[in-house]
Amino acid sequence: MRSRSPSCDGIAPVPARAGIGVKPAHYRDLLRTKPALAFVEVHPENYMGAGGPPHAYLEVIAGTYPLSFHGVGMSLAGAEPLDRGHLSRWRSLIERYEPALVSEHIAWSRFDGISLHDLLPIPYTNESLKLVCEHIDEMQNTLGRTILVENPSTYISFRQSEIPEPEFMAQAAHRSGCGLLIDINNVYVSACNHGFDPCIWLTRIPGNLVHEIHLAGHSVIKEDEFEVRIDDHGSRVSPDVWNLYQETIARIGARPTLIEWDTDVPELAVLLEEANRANELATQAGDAYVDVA
Amino acid sequence: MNIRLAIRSSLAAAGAVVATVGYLSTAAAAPLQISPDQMASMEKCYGVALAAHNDCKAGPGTTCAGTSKIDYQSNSWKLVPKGTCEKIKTPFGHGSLQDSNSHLPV
Amino acid sequence: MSTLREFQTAMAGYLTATPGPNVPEALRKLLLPGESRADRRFTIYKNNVYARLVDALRDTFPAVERLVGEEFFRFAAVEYIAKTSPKIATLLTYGAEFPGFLAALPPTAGIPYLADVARLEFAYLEAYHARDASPLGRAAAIVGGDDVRLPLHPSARLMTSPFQVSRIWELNRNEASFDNVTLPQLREYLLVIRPAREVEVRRLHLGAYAMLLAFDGGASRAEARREAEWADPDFDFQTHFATLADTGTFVGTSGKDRPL
Repeated sequence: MRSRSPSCDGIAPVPARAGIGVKPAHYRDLLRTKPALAFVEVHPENYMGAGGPPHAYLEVIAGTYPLSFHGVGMSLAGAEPLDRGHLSRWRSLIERYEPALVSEHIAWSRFDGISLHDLLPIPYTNESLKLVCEHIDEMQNTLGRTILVENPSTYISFRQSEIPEPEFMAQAAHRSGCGLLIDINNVYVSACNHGFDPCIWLTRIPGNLVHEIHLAGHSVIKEDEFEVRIDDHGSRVSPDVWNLYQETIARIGARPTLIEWDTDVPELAVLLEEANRANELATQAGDAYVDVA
Repeated sequence: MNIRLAIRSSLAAAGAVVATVGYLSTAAAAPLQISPDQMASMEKCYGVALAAHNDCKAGPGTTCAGTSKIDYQSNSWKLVPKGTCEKIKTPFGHGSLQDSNSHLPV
Repeated sequence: MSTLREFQTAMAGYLTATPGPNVPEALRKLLLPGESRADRRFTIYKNNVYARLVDALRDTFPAVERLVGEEFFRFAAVEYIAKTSPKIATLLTYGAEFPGFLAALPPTAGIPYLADVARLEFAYLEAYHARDASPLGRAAAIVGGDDVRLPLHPSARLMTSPFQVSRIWELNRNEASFDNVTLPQLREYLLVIRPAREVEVRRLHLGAYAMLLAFDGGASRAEARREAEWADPDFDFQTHFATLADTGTFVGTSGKDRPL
């Protein structure tokens, strides 16, 4: 087995190589050139319309590549119950496209019937861990799928947090049976913004829980003495993040790895260059599965 | 809806104009076939069918990315529209934008 | 009150309020004391929320943005967002009330066609994402004779404006520049529809508009014909009906979209 993937769902695992997030601007180039990619990732929220070109393209893409559905709006860490309508639209998409990977975020975006359309952070407490696990359970049960949950990039940290982030992630996976999607750029952005060591953060994540990795670019804002990194997915992956990626897969083995680019989206060729770089590193790392847990 | 009332209030029917209809063919397309005869007839009847290039116009989507923009605080009611509306004249006014400060809230 | 709910209540209130510099004390006190520039950190989240929604409106209403200019559009968008938070986790059809909002916005009073251009752009977006359906051809549409009730394609949206909004929309849909244009007063009757892959905006004759409104309301072919001929005594029903059928306007079974 090359790498484990949450494939108890009867869907073939995704190769432990690079994929890209696809945008409407890339549909035609992608389908004309059909580059080698381990998978293609989309946000299901952008396919929740009834029909039209988005679905026509996604049908063809799903016939060409393994699909990954990466949700941004479930609000797993929201204090309110999950939105039933949203769950039901998710379920229809899962039934229609049978994606190979399904993921969401440890974040909240919904409150009082309003969708805030951002991935908002939470204090890591026993209370929030319990709630997140209940919501992961509900999502997995409704979809009939094992999901992966991703670490957010954050700009604030909380006085009340009582569980370190990597332990919170690992606990959520152990308790709910979900897997982890580790966004290495997010770890790096948060590490810079809050002053912790990203290498240590990453070594505290048990490799056997990780089924996907995300890579993206970020930007830096400098204002007088204050410097903050913004996770804007608007540039190439930074050298520091490539190094962290290399170290991580050397430790845990290669994993399906997404190149994300959402702001100032470049032409497809640029995404493919980044994907090739990830593939080279994945080949060096090998597929050996090292369980450090 | 009361169709007759709605229509009675109208002034005139649209005139015929030259048509330009471009159907893109794509890998995933199942294009609707329209014969030249039908197209001619459509032009005659409908003036024009403006087909949009959908591939680049997918409407809004959402992402998990943040933004470094910091400029969403300029909510000044003193702003006036300044765009192509200034070049369009209609009998009801030319889109330009006389100072409408008299209408503004305090 | 739980820690999580306390924080999310305060944070949601802060994020949905009109952009401004003030971070409520209830939020600030939740932060780790060591973190510098607490207010600036919260601003990042607020900017994310507003920037994403402004961009969503910009993507949906590009002609409106060209008409009023980028700066004014952003101002109008921010005012709208502060009043109209999204209710669902998809942005595909965010902005349904933006045309009405623009109509009531005092600084746009000098642009009487602006709200109708916005309505056209929203109809376009709805047609783009509407349910797919196979249109009936002419032959199939005629079967059933005068009693047949023909639903419109699920993507079909009918609208009318006292201005030539489709012309104004067309002039402003891309980067092309244009010189001064004078548009005579002419009411337009429009059908926005996506029978296959492309959204089309069709200018209709008054009779055709009346016919389609009638079909959309569940009328039979005979009733639709009466409506059309009442609106326009010279209306050539057979030709118009056949052309509309040929161009994918009708479907076999009722195809209303369920709203999201």
